[in-house]
Amino acid sequence: MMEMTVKMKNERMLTDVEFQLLALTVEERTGRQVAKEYERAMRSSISYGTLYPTLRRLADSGWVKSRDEITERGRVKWFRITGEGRRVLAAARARYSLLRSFGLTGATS
Amino acid sequence: MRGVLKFLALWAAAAVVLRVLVPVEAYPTVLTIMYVAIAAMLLLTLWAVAHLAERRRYVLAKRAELRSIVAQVDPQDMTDELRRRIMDAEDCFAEIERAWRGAPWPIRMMTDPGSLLDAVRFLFDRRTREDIDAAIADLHEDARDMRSQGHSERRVLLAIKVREVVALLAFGRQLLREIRVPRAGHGRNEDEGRS
Repeated sequence: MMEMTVKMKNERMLTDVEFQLLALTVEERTGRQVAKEYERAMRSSISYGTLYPTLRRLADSGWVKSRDEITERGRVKWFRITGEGRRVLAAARARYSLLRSFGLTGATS
Repeated sequence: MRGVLKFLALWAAAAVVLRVLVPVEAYPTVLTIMYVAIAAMLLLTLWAVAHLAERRRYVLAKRAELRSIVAQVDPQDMTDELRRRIMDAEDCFAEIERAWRGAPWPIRMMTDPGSLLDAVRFLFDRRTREDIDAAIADLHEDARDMRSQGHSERRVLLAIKVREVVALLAFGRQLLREIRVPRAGHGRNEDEGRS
């Protein structure tokens, strides 16, 4: 536990939503596709007003890459996890498993 | 509103003209049908007016929400840039209001998914505006999906509007954070300087 905390010391902790969204960008998806997948996986919806700022924070941290596509239907943003993002995601998953082994759930941070 | 009153006056005049020109004794059935039709149109008009008034209240409520968000901004954080953005957003709401006053049926403008988000997007910086644009495009896409699944227009608009308001509030909260961050960052730098 201590070792894990030390390992994570130099990087910002992921919130639950960040963790879930990061996991959903392992394959490149549009914001809307991420929202749909989130809804399917978590059985609860996520507002676009939460989704986009969260993905923006992940992109600012260098964990997600985004690209814009202008279509006739408007702006579409695509998101994909980066190598650094994969490392952070793996660390968060390990941490999550560790917490679960202690009987603690629902916290990734 | 003037357009609606004209519309009502027109139907009332039609009823009077019918009553004067057509002898009741000669065509009782025709007249009854005509009066029922006119009464139905009047009721429909009243319903439409109530519907529009509800939409207008909705837009005004959103404007109040926006003002409440703006009111929470610390005066020290009220930069010229932010003030300009707020004025742009106010202009946008004013435009919606003018459309409501000017046209008898501006339903399209007020029920279009993303119209309110579109109004508040002026408050944000370019990058966040792009996020809001993407959110608006997604809302339009969701609306199209619902329509293709056979949902009624009323249900589609209600569902999309609810999601739009939720998104609006989330972006509003983000705006507050966005404004506060530079100050917090400044504080951190000061701390670092001391250490």
